[in-house]
Amino acid sequence: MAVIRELAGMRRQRRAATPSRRKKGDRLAYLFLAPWLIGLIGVTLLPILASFLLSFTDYNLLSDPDFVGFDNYAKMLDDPSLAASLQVTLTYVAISIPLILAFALGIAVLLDRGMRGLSFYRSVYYLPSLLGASVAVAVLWRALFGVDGLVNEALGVVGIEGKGWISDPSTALGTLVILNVWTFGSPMVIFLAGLRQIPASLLEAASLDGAGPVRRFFSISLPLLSPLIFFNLVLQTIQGLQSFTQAYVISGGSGGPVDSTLLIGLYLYKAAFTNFTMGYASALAWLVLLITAVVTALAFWSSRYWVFYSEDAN
Amino acid sequence: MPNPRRSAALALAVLVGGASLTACSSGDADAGEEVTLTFSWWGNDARTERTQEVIDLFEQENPNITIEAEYTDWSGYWDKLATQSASGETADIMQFDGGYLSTYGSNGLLYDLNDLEGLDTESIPDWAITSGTWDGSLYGLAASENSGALVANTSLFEEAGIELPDDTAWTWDDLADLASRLSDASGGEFSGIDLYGFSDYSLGAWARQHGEELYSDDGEVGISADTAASWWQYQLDLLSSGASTTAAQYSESAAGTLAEHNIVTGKAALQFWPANQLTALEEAAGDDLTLLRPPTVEGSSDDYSAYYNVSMYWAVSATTEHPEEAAAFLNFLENSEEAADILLVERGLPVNESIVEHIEPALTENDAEVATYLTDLADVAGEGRAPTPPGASSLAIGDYTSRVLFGESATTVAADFVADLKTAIADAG
Repeated sequence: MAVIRELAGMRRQRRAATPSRRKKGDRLAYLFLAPWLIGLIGVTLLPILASFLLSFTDYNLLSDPDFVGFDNYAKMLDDPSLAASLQVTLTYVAISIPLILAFALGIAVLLDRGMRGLSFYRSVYYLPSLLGASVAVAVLWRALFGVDGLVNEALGVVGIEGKGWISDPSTALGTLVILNVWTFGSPMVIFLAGLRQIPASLLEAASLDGAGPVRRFFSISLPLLSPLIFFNLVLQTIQGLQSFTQAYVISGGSGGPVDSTLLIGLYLYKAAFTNFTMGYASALAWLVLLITAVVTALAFWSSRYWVFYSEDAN
Repeated sequence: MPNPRRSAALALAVLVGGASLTACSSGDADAGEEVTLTFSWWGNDARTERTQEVIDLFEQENPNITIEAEYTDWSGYWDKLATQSASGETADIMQFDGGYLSTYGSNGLLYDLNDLEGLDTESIPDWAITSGTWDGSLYGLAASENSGALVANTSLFEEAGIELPDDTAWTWDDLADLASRLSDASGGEFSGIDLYGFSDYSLGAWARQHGEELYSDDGEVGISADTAASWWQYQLDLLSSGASTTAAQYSESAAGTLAEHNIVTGKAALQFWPANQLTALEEAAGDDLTLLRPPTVEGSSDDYSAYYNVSMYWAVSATTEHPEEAAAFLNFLENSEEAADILLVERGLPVNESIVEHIEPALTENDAEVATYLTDLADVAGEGRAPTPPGASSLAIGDYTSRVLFGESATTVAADFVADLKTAIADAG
């Protein structure tokens, strides 16, 4: 009897001892996490929730929101500017992504040969991707591609008369694409790292069997790189769909001559701050989310067919 | 057993948390008579310097009032104001533009200055009061007056060997002809006139000259699609005759800063601008610029439909905690000679006539030219214009001009413009 009572007592003590020590450790952890958690909730999650709720209202920012149900979403079906904007955005993404990936991979392959000054070249090519989304670069772009810009002066030397690339509706989007492609540095660095990870033994074995560099690249390097290509594809697509700064600065906030540079991010901004229709702008934001989700899902689905994970092989 | 390392970590966490919280709290007004007002405006460096001097002077004379300055450039100003309004944190005194006055006023964000005790509006002319009144409430105190003008680059005129026109008696046809001659004489170096459709000021004057009014007094659209179409058609004719800059040049100019405009870079000899911009334009251009009156349909100054418009207003936040001090500062800005001595005509010509007389001797040559241009208009100026109705400012007329310049017919675009304008006003009302 006494033994059982003693054992029960000991167990109670141990149960009493451990939880409080664990709780104290937890409390400290949460205290240190608190600033980040407050940020996550206050600056990210709550605004997302607010945006969702606002998308069902008519809100001009200066007076209280008015609940209007699905009106904003219905309006989207009938909005010619939105249709134009979606077309511009999808064209922008469809053209720049392949170009970015091609440049990134191409330059990475060249740099992978291990030349002198590799780190210098790597930094130089990486630099634009740091600056690319900045206002300063967009201003620079206007000076380059304007009617009297550097590009036209250079063309003039060869005798070609350039036109206003930025102010012509048919080429304005092209200047934005070039700006986006110019920032190929960050996917390039990722590809470089990926190339380094390809086992040299595989490549040696292949060359011993008589495979030339091209064959080696397409049959060995590329498949092994495919996870990284996929990663960069998804990342660049998401970034491309959200593109705003360059379009805003280069077109002066208007979406370019005759809406030719009206990327969806810019259209959303105009709906919010020029037209004071915050509710509609919020609905547009959720549309962009939906489109991004769909495109990403498509990419993931297609990855079954062309992305090769080396773990699967075993 | 209390773990010393753990306690130290806890104390550190509390300190860091406490420090970041204090950084969040804003400076409140001190206890007692001390009052802090916030004052926001848009402008460039020159304006900031002068305005800051005025603030310092006011603070010296009123030691219990501190004025916190908030200033940005034009493009960021309205986004910032909209966001501040949503959170109820607008500045006590704000510089305002006629395009937005009615929107903010009708949403209850601005103080009705008729009810602001201590505000002295005796020396403000009636037309200025009308321009700041919406729906019976005075939302904006006219800070300065302005009027549309044609800026001419006299150096380019000389180069072309062409004389400046008689601007009291010329027609739109004369202008088109002059611009053509300038383009031809320049040998391709510059164009006669820069396309000007990025702002609606000359549209207002055009409407008046054709017997209409851009907006009626009760806030409806007054201009007809036909008149709007003819305004664009005139620009298209200038374009096709080679009298004006190209559509590409216009596009880039319109998206750029003041210094990038073609009148400044010497690519065009004429351009429509508000008169007070002469000083800034001339500084940027380094060339000699002068002001001409815009042409009229009939060519006689009796038909001249110029009107003064208020180039900017002072408005007070509806939720200000210190209305009396705000009134005192407004009086200082608007009616005191010391403030006028510093500000001169940087924001435009003061509406208070006695102030204009007082500062006249101190004006630089350019400023004096602006002042003379504006005061001379008194003989021919028409009635004041009511503020732009809410919602109308959301339309960027430059977008419509782009469509016309890049090939759409002026009639279609004009019809769209008038329809969109009506919708925008109806939606906002």
